[in-house]
Amino acid sequence: MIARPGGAAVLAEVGAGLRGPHVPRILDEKPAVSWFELLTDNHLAEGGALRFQAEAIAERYPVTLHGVGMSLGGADALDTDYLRKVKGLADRTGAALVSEHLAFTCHAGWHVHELLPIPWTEECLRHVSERVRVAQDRLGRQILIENISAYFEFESSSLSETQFLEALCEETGCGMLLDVNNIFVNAANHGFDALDYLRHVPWRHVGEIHLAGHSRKGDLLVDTHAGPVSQEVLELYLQTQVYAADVPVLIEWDNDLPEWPVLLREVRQIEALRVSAARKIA
Amino acid sequence: MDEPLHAALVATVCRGPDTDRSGSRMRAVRGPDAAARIDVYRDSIRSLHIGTLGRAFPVCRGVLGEDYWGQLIATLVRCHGSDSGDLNRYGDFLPDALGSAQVIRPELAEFPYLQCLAHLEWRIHLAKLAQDDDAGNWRRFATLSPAAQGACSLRTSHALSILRSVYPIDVIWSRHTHPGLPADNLPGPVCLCIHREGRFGIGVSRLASRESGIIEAIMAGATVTQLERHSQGMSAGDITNTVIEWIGQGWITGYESGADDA
Repeated sequence: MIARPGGAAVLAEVGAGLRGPHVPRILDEKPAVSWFELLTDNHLAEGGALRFQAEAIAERYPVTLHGVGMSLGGADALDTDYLRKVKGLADRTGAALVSEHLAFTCHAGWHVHELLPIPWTEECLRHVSERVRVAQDRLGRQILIENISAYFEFESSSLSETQFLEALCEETGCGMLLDVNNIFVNAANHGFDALDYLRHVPWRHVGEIHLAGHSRKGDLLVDTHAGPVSQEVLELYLQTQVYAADVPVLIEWDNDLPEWPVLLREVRQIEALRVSAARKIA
Repeated sequence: MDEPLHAALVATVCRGPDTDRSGSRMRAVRGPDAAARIDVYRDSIRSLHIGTLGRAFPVCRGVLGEDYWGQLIATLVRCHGSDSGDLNRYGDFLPDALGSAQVIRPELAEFPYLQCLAHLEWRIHLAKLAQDDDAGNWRRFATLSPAAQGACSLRTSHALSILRSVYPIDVIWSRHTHPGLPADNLPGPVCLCIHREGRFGIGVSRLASRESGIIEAIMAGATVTQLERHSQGMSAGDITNTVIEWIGQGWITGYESGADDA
């Protein structure tokens, strides 16, 4: 078995993204879910219900943190106050993993809170590597970096996304969070082969996998997290089991949020899928 | 890093078609679907910001109606970006932006209290996020000599703030947030105390003039002895009873020893 990055070893099987409306029911019913992922940016408050929710869930389940505000691909200086808050949240909740995105979300003090793509160049790699190193130093832990859905690419890119991510992991010691839905969306929108992408993923660095739903807008697929994981994405996920059957997987559902039992059914479906895939591989 | 590219991209996705200066440097942005690809980002950012403000200002949204609110906010967010990586902090500009909008949008004259109401909602939003308070050591306070007690200053809850308005915005807020409950038709002007109620709830309490004098003096760092000066003629016993009541309500959470007690 490959040694997985960071705290992935303490996570098992299938986790669910924690969303505020589900928290009271989860705390009340204590459903059998292996772990929950907290959206870092939702729980940075110094007090109140959001802070309580994070800590209450962390008392009962293993948790991970997944953020969008670090702007690791950005040109602005890293926000040390933001990093301090993330570290505080990670320490309080005993987060098994902390993850971010290969993107920028801020420029000249303007935070868009949206994952904007960066060019995959050597210069950009050096820049992001330095920022990842600083972030990991400040947090006192390894972070995982996720591949994003990008609706355009840059002409200046001289590396592939997987080459960029592999080099980033090698140079900084960070891990990779592989979002299978993002690969599927990008493959459709940019016309590449998703299976070929999987063949080039630096699997030894992958510490977590994400699954989510997408939507169609005209000719484009959009990573909306507004529905169940599509059959095509599930099939692509099954292909990852050849390379990374032991990697924990998480379901994200953010928009048009269903009642908790619907999301729990999704978790059970993926759990069954993993068992089935393991049998086939064995 | 290619800073001009970042700047152009942020301007493109945040502000509008007239600022689309980065497209020529990107693959898959040219051609018939170029606008659609940019619009994915624009739509996502716009809906995120509008949704965030809608959750922080639910009563203003309700007063103006969903359609008008959505149209007004879509205009305002183009000029007022988020200056923090913490999205919970986005919205402090809105009260004053609504005030400015009232100057140029005659239809908003119908809602002269809008800016004050937005200030109230922002204070409520911040109170929800404020640091939780530690319990004060009142047993120790009780062991201090009267002189030492008098030299102490009192500490208010991190969530507590005071807001004044010429309009009865507390009544408007109550009617929208608790539509089933009878609301007193009290007139303005008002001095309001925004505070935690229970562990996570938020209360908005109207203060009498004498009460507001005391709580504002406490927030400004006045000692216990100095409170009488700000109480507009309240007796020492009434001031003590008021402070004890506020301790019970969690408005006052501790004390700082004066020099005599150090």
